[in-house]
Amino acid sequence: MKKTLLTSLILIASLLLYLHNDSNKPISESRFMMDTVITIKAWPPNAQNAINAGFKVFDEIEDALSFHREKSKLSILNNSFQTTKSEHLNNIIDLSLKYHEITEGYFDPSFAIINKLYGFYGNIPSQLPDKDLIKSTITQFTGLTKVLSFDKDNVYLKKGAKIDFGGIAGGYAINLASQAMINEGCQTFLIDDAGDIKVMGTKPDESEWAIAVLNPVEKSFLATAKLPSSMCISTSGNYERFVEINNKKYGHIMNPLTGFPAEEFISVSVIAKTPEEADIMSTALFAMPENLACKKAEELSIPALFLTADLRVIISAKGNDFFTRNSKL
Amino acid sequence: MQKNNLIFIITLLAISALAYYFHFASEKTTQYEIRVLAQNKTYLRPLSNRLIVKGYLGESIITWNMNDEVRIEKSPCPNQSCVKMGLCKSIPLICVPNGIIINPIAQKYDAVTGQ
Repeated sequence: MKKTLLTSLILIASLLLYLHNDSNKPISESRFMMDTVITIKAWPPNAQNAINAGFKVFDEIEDALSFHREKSKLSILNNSFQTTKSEHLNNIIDLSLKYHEITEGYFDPSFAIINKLYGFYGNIPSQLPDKDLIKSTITQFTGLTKVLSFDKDNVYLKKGAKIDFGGIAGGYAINLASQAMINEGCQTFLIDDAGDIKVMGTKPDESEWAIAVLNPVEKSFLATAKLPSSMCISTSGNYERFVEINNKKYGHIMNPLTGFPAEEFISVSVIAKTPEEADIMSTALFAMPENLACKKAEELSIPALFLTADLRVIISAKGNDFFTRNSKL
Repeated sequence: MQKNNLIFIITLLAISALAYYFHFASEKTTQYEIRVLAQNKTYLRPLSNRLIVKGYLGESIITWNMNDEVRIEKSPCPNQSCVKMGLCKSIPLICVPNGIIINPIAQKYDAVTGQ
C-alpha cells in the first residue's frame, strides 16, 4: 500500500514538473532597429547568446548600409558620390545588380531619387511632382547599372543620383544574423524584420512553422504559409509607408518605368530560400503590372501570393505548395 | 488488483487529467502581450481593460472592449497609423514610432508577414 502511494506521488510530481518545465520554451526579444521593429525568437540551447549575436549583426548592417545614418558607407556614397569598397557594400551591390537584371529593372535601389521627389525622406510637397521632372529624373539618375561604377578600391555614384538599399538590406541582415545565431549553437529560431521572416530548425513540439499573411483591408489573415526549416517569406505593400498629397495616399514602391507609385497590388508575399531573394522579389513583383508579375512568378517558379487592388487573391503554381487561403475569404 | 490500488490509479488519472486540462486550457484563453521597446518591458492585458504605457515619443493609451478586441486609443506618433487601425483581435497591432507592439498570444501562428 505504502509502495503504491509513493509511486503515485512520484508520478504526479513528475507530471507537474514536466508541465512546468521551461527548458524548452523560447525566448523572444524585439528591438527598434533599421527604422522598424525587429523580433528574434530562439529556442534553447544558447538562445539568449544567439539573440544577442543576431541583433549585433543588424546593428552592424545598419551602420554600414543605413540611408539615414550620416556616417554609413551608403550615406557617404549618396553625399560624396564616392566611397571606398567594403565587404557589406560590395555584397549588397553585387546582389542588387544580379536581381536588377533578373527583375528586368523592376528592382532598382537607384529609385530613391524618385522617392525623394514624392517627399519620402522629408519635405512632402503640396503638389504631385511634375511629370516632366519625373521623366527627366528617371532618364538621368535611375538605372543601377547606369549610375554605379567601380574601380579597384572605390565605388562611384553618378552626381545627383541616390541609392537606398531598403528593399534588400533587411533580407541581407537576416541572412547574416541567421549565420551568427547558428555559430552561437542555436538551432531553432525565427527572425522577423517587420514581415521579412526566416525560420530555422524544428520546434520542440515538431509542429510546422506557420506564418500568417496579413490582409490589411479586412484586418484579418489572408492565408497561412507553412514553411520548412531555413525558408523565408517576405511581404511588400504600400499600405504602411506612404505620403499623403492632396488627401491621396501614395505608396513608397515605384514602378520604375513610369516613375509613379505602383498601384496594382495591395500586397505581394514571396517565399524563397534566402531572405534577400524573398525581400527583393516581393518588392519587384509588387512594382510590376499584374500580368508581368504573374508571368514572372511562373517563369522563375516563385511561390507568390498576390492581393490585387480590387481584392482578388492570386497564388502562383509554386505558391500552392506553401500557401493555404483563409477559408473565410 | 486490490481495491486500494485501483483507487490510487483512478486518483492519479484524475489528477493528471485536471493538470492537463489547466495546462492547455490556459493557453487557449485570449490574452495579449504588450511590448514597450523604450522600457524594454512586456505587459499583459490588465483587468481594467485600459493600459497607459510610455513609449519613445510619449504615452500611448491601449484599450480593450467586451469582445476582446484591442485598439490604440491615443498615440503621440506623427501619422497616427496605429490609431487609424481601429479595433483588432487576432492580428498584431504595432506603433513603430512609439515602439509599441501588441500581440495576441497563444495564437496558432509563429509570426505574421505584412508590409
